[in-house]
Amino acid sequence: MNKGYYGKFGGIFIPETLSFALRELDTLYQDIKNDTTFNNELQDIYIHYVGRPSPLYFAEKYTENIGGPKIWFKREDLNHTGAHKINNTVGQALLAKKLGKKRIIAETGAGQHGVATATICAKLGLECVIYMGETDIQRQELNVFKINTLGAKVVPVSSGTATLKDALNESIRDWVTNVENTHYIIGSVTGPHPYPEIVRDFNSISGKELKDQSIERFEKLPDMVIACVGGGSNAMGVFAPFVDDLNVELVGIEAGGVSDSDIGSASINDGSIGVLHGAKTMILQNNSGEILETSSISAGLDYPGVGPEHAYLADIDRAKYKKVFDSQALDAFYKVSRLEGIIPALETAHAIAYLEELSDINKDKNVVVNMSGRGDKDLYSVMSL
Amino acid sequence: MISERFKELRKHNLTGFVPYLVANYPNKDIFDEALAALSNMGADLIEIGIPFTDPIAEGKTIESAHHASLKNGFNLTNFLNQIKNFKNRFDTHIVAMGYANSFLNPSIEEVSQKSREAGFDGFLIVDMPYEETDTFKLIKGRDLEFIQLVAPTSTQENIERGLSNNPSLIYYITQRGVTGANNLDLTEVQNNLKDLQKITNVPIITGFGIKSSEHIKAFKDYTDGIVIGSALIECLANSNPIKSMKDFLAPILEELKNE
Ligand SMILES: Cc1ncc(COP(=O)(O)O)c(C=O)c1O
Repeated sequence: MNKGYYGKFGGIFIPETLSFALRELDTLYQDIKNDTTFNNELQDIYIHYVGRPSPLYFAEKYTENIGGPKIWFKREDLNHTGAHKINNTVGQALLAKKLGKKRIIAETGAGQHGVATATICAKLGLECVIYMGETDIQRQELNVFKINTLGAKVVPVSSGTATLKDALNESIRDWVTNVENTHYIIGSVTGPHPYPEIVRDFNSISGKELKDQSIERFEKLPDMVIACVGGGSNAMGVFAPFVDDLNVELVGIEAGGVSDSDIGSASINDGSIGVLHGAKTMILQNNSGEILETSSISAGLDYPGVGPEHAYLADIDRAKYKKVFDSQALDAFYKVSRLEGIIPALETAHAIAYLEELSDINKDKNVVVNMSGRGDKDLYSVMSL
Repeated sequence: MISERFKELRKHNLTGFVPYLVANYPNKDIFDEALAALSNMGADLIEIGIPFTDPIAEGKTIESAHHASLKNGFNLTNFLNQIKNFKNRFDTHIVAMGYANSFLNPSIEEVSQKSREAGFDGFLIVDMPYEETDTFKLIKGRDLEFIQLVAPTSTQENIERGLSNNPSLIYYITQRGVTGANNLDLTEVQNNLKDLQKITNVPIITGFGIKSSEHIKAFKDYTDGIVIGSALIECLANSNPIKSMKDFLAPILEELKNE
């Protein structure tokens, strides 16, 4: 089998100009991933800068309200910068330093990945350029200001749909042009090999912690782990350590948009196989292979593709992928704020909304929702609804 | 065969003319007219860009042309009929250049079959890596040739991996960047083309950002063909597109033929 495939998904579908950079990254990563010095450096940042480990919180009132299984939140929203995204950016920024690359580029949708990238670049003294669609710049104003405050530059992208996918296109174009001095920190488990693997591994810190914490807190593994899926990095991170534990049900939540008649952005539920941004995966496209204009109330889930490993886990039935609509996510956004005093990101609210389906599950089961991020960034747009 | 045409050019020490158009840009009629005009002007090979929503290797000019063509309702099945008509009148070699997702839908077998029947001579799939050997075999199995991209950043090891798929032609990308970029380093391109010829006898065409007689003069002794893309697309956006294109190409063709 070719490199970087998960079943029939994955691969390295990129223009030849980038081939050497991806090989170089792959070689470095395979060398370094078990290197003690590198991992100590990373752990040090995780503990003292990111604030890991993130707590596993028992959501007592939510549990009561649903009236089914025990509900736990894995609190990635408490990480520095407010989401899981920083787990990946600190790891990749260290890789960039090892590669001798002093300039970092990244795409961002919700702005969380942009902020997390700009943050670690400030700390490590790396130049940082963030590509962001104009539509997203409008709905995520606060994060744009944060990125600028951190000393990074935001480049608006107006082509196509002016959202995450176009920001990705522009990032790839920048990378093709500046590949020799620039490292591209992709924000999810998407893109050509080795990115899906690297981003999964750096995010799997949350899944590894969760494994230990569940033994500590309820003396067994969770019965179900739920996470929202845009590109799929928070989900892949929390799923990965459990993939071989077949008793642990893995549920990814995709964004359905307004309603079933909407295109939404549920690539696994509604898409078909194709190639986008360097990987063969499930994508939302028409019969001619043109990529569709997706929609979601949450900028971070508004993407027509999904990481190839999720497409694979769905294909072999190891994980299931469900769809949650805008209004359900919004209800969950308010509900968890009021019941638990935790304002979630709109992306995360999609995962929480799925809990409504679980009231029939036995009370001694344990269900964990990966709280991928906090809601500060979304307050302006929720306010204006 | 494309490969034979370029071997012939090499034998006679000539440099081929390889214009690039985006399918049905700026509209169907002008595209058809441009295609015919370029054939009459002696194009050795015409690359036809298959419009895609997310053309990551293209600069602004060609990206906009892709989007404009899609907006006008581009449809591959209808377009293949247009190509059939063109091929009934001209024997100019043509390749479909585009992105993997356009070629894999519904399947590479079906797209290859139908493209061959319509008269395409080959494919150039920008984001199809050398590793996808089965895809290249399928394309060749449908009697289509394919063109392999080589970049300034390509390692010799990787080029050789690509050559083992038996491409008909190499397309050397002159610069790190997208189509139409303005960072040409003439000496670097010459040196890389010289090095490439040491590795392989496969004919080499050269493109990305080539837009003047000076560029042609600098490269023509080192390559078997010159690709003109973004500069041509810009002409077609003008109010008198065909004349604009011909005027722009006149000095370029003269330089190409100049011994
Ligand atoms: C809080 C939060 N959760 C989830 C996502 C979706 O990304 P992924 O599916 O890669 O976890 C984002 C993306 O911006 C986010 O900000």
